[in-house]
Amino acid sequence: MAHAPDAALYAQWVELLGWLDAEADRLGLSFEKVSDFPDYIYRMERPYDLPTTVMSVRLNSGGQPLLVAAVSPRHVDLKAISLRLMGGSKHWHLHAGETGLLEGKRPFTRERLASVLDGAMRGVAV
Amino acid sequence: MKVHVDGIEIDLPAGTSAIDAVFAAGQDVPYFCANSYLSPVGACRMCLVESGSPRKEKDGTFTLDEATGQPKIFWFPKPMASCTMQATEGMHIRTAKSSEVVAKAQAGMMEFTLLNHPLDCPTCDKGGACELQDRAFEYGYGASRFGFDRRHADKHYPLSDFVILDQERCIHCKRCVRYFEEVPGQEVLDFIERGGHTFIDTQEGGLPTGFSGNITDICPVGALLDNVARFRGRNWEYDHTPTTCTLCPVGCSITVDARNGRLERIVARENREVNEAWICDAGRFGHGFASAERLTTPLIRNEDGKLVEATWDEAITAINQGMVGRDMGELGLYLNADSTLEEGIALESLAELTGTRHVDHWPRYEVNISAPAATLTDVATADAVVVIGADLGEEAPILELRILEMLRGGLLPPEFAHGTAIADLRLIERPVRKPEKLAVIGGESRLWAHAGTKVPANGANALSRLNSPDTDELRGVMKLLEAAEKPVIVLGADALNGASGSFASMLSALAARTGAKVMAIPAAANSKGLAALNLVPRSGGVNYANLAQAPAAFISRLDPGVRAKGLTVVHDTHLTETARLADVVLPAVTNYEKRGTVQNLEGRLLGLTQAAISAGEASDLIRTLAALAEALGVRAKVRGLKSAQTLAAERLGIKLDSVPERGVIHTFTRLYTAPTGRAHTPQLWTERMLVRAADGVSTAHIAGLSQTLPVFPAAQPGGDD
Repeated sequence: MAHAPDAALYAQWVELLGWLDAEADRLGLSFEKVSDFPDYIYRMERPYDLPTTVMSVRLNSGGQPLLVAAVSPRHVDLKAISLRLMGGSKHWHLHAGETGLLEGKRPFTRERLASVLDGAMRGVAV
Repeated sequence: MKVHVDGIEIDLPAGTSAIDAVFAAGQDVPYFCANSYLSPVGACRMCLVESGSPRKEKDGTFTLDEATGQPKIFWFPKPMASCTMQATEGMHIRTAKSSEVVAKAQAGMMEFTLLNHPLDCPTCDKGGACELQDRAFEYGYGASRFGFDRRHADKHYPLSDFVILDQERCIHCKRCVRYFEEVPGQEVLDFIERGGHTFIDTQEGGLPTGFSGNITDICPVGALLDNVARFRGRNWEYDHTPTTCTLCPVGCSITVDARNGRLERIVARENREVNEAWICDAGRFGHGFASAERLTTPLIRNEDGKLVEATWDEAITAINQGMVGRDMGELGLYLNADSTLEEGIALESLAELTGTRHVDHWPRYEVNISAPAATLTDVATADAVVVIGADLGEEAPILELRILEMLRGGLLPPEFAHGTAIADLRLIERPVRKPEKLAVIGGESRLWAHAGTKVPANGANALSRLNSPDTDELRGVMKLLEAAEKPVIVLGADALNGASGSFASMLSALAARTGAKVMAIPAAANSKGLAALNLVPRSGGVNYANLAQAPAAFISRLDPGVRAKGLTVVHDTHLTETARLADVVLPAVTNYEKRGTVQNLEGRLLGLTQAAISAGEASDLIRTLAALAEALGVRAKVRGLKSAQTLAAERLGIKLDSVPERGVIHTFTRLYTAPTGRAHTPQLWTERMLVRAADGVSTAHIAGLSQTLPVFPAAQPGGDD
């Protein structure tokens, strides 16, 4: 499978972070940083070129994590963005595409994220 | 049973697990999921060893090795998890020391366990005290071949006010899950999802307060951390002080960790006889008061009627002046019943010296139980327990755990030279409990959920009703007591408040008839020990309940909210309501900073050691009483710990300077008692204990530094060379 360069992955990750923040606002969830890149924290004097230091974030519903989103650190093989519905056994594996995030071959758009989160919210409400 | 470990022959009792055989032989094997007092499950696969046994022919003789003529050892084809394998007669075990296969298996498992572990060690509070770190250094390859992304899950997620969870750090050993199911019997934590996505969480909306803190001790990694002690210090920076907890009469062994004069953390210390390896949440997390808003200097009342800071000399002068025109015998002496025996002896001797009639300690009950006393081990191994009028959650939480231990069979793990058995194969996951062995009479409490018989009753007359049962339920409880071989009766505050000599004789008669041993939970940590001293009102004396009627009073670490008629001296760690009313306030030390001895609910003498907590000019009761004697113009007989212990040896015939680490049961022959005039309501958590450690942090000493700290410029990219 042809992948866009790593730079695209991190640019799209930053875009996804924006979507998550906005969607959290819309749904009344809290959007919190979970962790920074270890490669940023412990880089000492080594240069750092990623657009963000944030490696993973969570959307909390009532103090409990609902969705955790994370991106691979810059040094790992087979980089991807992962979304997981905590406790739901649902896992999304996203790649950088030429025009935007891909879920396999299917584009992962903001609308798709919104529908995923709406579904998750329905699960929480049950 | 002879077992050979790396060629070392050792003799072990039957039923020993292979992992204990290895440690008994002085060899080492790494493990994560096994933990003393918990069932072994073989989840982490770190304790792999090679093992083999001799095999017998049909005629009962050993299959012999043709070359050597010795019994031939048939080795298992694969390495075995030693924590779940029972060592058997003639078994041979090879650890990493003598087997390449084992060394490779363990290093491989170590690499596997570290695959998904986040790179948090420098910011992880467990760093330095981490089993995963230590085993990785000892048994790992020291290099990583895993180039892919690690597991991402939720981090620093509070499970309750006291426990914080980091799901990425969890290595899925299941110690915490097994602990909750097996020890306090609360199924609140479990794995969610499967495979690499597995994480620990609760569906109950948070952990119940009670015994949740123990999971922070047993977690081998930094996944479950003590939130009160979070980011306070590194394990190697703390001054570790082994001492005894005095929040309740159980007297659990604890380690107090202090740093820069602040009490930062309390962890459980093993005492097989008392608390095994567990302590309650109050004991672990309720230490905020020890370092927050402490009184550090004496206070005296000035001309304007305000309390102002003073020196000890000024305080002594103020007491002296306050007693002008009064006989020193009018100064009543009152102390908290969690004071040490040494302090009690000092007070008793001062009371003798001043001739005061007004002496009391609080909390206490009016009754002396003479029925045979049960130890905590007796409770755990009993075949029937009847709890009368007790809310163990408030009075003696660990006693509740020992009762639950009784319900699941009273299996006490054996002890070896290397300590308590790491894996006791008799302990099984999700143990069967026998609730019919437990009857609870009295108010509703946490223990109800585990009891086979629950009799709602007024605790005060529960014993007399039990003695002549008027309902089928009570008749059932009597039958349980009579049918049992080793029954134990536990009595709590509701039964003991207002109880008198007739209660004691009724109890003795019941104990004699049923062969039961009795555990009467004392009102405070050292009420039982202090009862051996004459610390009760003499004839015509004012007791603690009527303190306001005392002509003058010295009150040590008690907060009745009233003052005496005349001079009132308060000796306390904090500016309490009573201290605000006092004429002179003397700073006291907490029990974390004392040396001395207390007697717990089973009559065990346990030692206190002094933790390195900064307390300003605060002083313990012995030295304060010496100062008080000076103010009264007499020379105190007891002026320090040594002289208190000498006096204890003279009066009570006990050697308090050489109490063994696990304590020693002692029965005092003479006990003093007197009417109390008020009921004692046990309360484990008090308002000030809930002061969060973080609230008391002062940064003033950093801002006020007069010199600038040396700051080195950043290193050149690529290094200095």
